[in-house]
Amino acid sequence: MRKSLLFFCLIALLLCGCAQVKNVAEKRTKTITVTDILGRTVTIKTPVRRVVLLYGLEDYAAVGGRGSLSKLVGINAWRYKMYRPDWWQAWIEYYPEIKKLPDVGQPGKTFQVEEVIKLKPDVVIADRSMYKYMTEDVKRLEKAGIPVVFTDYFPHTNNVTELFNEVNRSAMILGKILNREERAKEVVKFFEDHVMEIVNKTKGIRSKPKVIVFATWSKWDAYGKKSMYNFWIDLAGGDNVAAKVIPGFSGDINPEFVLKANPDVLVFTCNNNFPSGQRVVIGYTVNNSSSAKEALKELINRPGWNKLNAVKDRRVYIIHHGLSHGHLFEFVCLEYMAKWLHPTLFRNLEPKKDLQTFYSKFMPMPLHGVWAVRLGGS
Amino acid sequence: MVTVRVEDVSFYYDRKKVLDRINFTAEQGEITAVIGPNGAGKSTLLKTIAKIVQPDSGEIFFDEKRLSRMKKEDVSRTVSYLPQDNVIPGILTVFEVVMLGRIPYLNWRIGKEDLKITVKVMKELGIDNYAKRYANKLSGGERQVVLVAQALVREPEVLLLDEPVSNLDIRNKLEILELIRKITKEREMTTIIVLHDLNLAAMYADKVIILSGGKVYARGRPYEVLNEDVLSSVYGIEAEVKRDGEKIQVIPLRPVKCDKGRPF
Amino acid sequence: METEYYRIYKTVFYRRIFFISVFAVVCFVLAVVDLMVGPISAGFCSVLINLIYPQNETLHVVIWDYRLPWTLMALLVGGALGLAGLEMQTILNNPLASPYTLGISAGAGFGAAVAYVFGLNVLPVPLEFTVPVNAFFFAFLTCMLIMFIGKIRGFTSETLVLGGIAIAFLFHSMLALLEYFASEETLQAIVFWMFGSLTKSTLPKAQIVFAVLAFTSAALMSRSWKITALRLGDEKAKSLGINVERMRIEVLIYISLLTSVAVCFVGIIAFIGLVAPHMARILLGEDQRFLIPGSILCGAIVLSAGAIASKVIVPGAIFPVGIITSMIGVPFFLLLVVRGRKHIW
Repeated sequence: MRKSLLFFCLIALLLCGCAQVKNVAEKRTKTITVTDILGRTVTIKTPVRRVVLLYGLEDYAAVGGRGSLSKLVGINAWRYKMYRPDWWQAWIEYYPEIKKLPDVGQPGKTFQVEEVIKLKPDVVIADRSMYKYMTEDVKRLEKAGIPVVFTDYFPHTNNVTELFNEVNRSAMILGKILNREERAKEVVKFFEDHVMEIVNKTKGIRSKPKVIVFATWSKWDAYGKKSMYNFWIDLAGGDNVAAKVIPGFSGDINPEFVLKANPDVLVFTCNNNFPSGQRVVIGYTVNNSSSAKEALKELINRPGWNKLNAVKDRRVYIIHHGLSHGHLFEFVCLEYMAKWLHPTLFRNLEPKKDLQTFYSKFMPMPLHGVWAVRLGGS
Repeated sequence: MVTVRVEDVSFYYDRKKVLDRINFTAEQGEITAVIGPNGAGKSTLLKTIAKIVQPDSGEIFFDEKRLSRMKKEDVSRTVSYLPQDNVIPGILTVFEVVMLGRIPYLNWRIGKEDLKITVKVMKELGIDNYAKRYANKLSGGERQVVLVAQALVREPEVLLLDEPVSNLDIRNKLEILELIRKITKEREMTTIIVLHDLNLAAMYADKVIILSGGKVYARGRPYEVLNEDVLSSVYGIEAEVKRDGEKIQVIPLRPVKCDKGRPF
Repeated sequence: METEYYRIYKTVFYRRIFFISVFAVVCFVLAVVDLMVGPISAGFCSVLINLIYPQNETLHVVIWDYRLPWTLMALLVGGALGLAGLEMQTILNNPLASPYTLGISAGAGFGAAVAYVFGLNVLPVPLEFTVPVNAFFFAFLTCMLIMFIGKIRGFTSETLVLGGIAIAFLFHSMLALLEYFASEETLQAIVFWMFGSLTKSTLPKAQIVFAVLAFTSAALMSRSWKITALRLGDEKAKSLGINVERMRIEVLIYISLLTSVAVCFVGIIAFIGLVAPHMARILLGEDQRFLIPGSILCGAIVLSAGAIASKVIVPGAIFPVGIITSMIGVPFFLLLVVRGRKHIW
């Protein structure tokens, strides 16, 4: 069924689009070849005029600039609306035309390969994590002459060089596609400089404060060894005690273990939508930190927690989950961790300001919102 | 002890008349056999007497007591009904299975009386030696005896048996019917039994009720009722009935050929 | 004569009582072990002391606020599911039935999801209870739907099972629909909730489960002969003076209460409700007077063992207990099925 539909689409495409395609093809004989993050070699006709974006509008805009937004012909709006509603709000506020773009959906959930083929993009950009959900679709798209490239900014191992390498490669893929390689280099340099600034200072640190990062959607779910938080904490000179007992990405921690470990710092992460009570406590659309503080007060209201160092010293924080992974400004999460773990050492570090700078330098919109909140004095 | 009197009982199922103004009397100390072709309403008749289904009209009397005015609990203490399909739950000893027949009397704590009667009945029926065996290990014949025992521990005044010997071999058939007759006489119970085998009915029943299409076609002593004409019109068969005084023997020969299908 | 019937009674009945005592002892031992196991090491004596008065403040908090609620919840929820499973198998006359057969878990999951996705709650209650209250409400609603179907079509086991399957599918698809529109975190929360975990235990919740379990088991115990009679088939039961349909409805209401209250506090823990009754039945027989406490104890044993394992497998972390109960229970159950010389149904 699906195959025949595809076949039909192809025929239709060939017949109807023949003249048009030829017309364009005459002008665009040039192609570029990029090796994406999965090591796939992809050939793309340049200049790229039509892009379908499945992930990372922020990074796309950071590298491509305001002009690149007009090249978008389709977007994975579903993911934005569901996972990063505040960011989506920001985008459609400043660029209402994004709202009108066809929603091609999230791979593994709502992805519509036929819609993508219909849009005749020059390239489809997706995240590495999506590949396993769209292996077959990638083949179909390739058959239809639509190249797919995968990028990835997620810190997979506790190795800065490797992270830089992947972030660099991913940004350069965007740079090449959008013909803005200089700009890509600039963004990457900004990213690397900020990471190195922290790493250089924390390198020699012996006493590592203990920290646990909790998700807010389940009471005792903590981020483990394979999570990005573990990586950032490690680089920031901290000790993610949950990593000792949670070998994977995240999992339930024994409440007693928290009491026993007695962390010096507690971090909660959440998105724009706080799961219980459906409150919006943090993110681009939030104006003040009072609701986040309320949420934090509720979050630490657990038996025995008043004895924890972190709670006694009010070193309890909440951070927007979107800062922690998957984007060229994820260094901000590292900065926050560093500042929270070593407040004296990083007395002059201002993560919010660095995020602000990133936005003013690279993003086609101003920065608003509340991104990280401390519990505050009693 | 009671006499069961069925008066003008009718019963409808989905607007189909299953029982049509049934009248008969079953005396105490006698076995009344209900016979008739499939679908004649035999099982339904037993169920109305056990108060499992309510007749749409008519009344059943236990002596002078109206069944419709009796409480279900009281009926269950007077009547034991052994349905055609019986479930014996897997993980129970024979002793327990038999004792379950006393549920209308059982308190949360089992009384001495209950235990005594259970053992007494098992002894009477000769199954006390496998009291501790699990019921699902029994053979078909043993199973049926256990079920009869289960029906008897209630010390019923009316015993209703729906085809109790259908699936048994010939020796077991005879043994169980023998047993039922013995107990019926000893305890002066009113036993009503649905049977398919006309010869067995003739051998063991004191009285026979022949049902056909929901109506009582004939009733009386087996030798009075069972004859070639009745068999031909009720069952649609040609049969030979041999008589030797009050004893009779039915030898079925062939189905009657009939243009309109079955004769009823 | 006197001695003889008493002898048979003794051998048959005291065997049952013996097994129940064994269950109870195992249960108690597991509960004590459960209280003692945890990242903060504490000996038997210090656990006991801190249970009574706060000798060591941290340990006191740990025991009273974490370990005790979990231990109690494991016992009570296990017991509730065991009992609910037993009665579901009995009234449906089906060895494959479990508390979730009638779609109660799907209903509860849907209710929880409604609470998470829309922030809706059916009663004005504190935030901690919105999800359980919603889950309970929808679980109970599911049962009422089944009742409604039964009312129209007659309370036979076929009607109930088929109706239950249909309603389970309905709620599953509605749940899937909700999940489809849920945000990342909400989805995680729903999935996690569905998983079944004792981490949500608190003492008040344990008290609620206890009250429901005590009430329902007392009510069922007082009807134990009538319920046992249901196993003899509908007609036999009717001839024993039992109003079979009313009995089914009554028992179904108790099952609904038990399952809803268990599910709404700890999420869906499968398998116990299916297997605990069978374990009890194989060793205790069909007599509900023994089977009711037996199933409660077996359920409590399986979930307590699971709770201990969930803390021990990765010390410091909590392994989802739902996964473990199956892993512990299945081999044991299969052993009983394969090695046992008795029938299992």
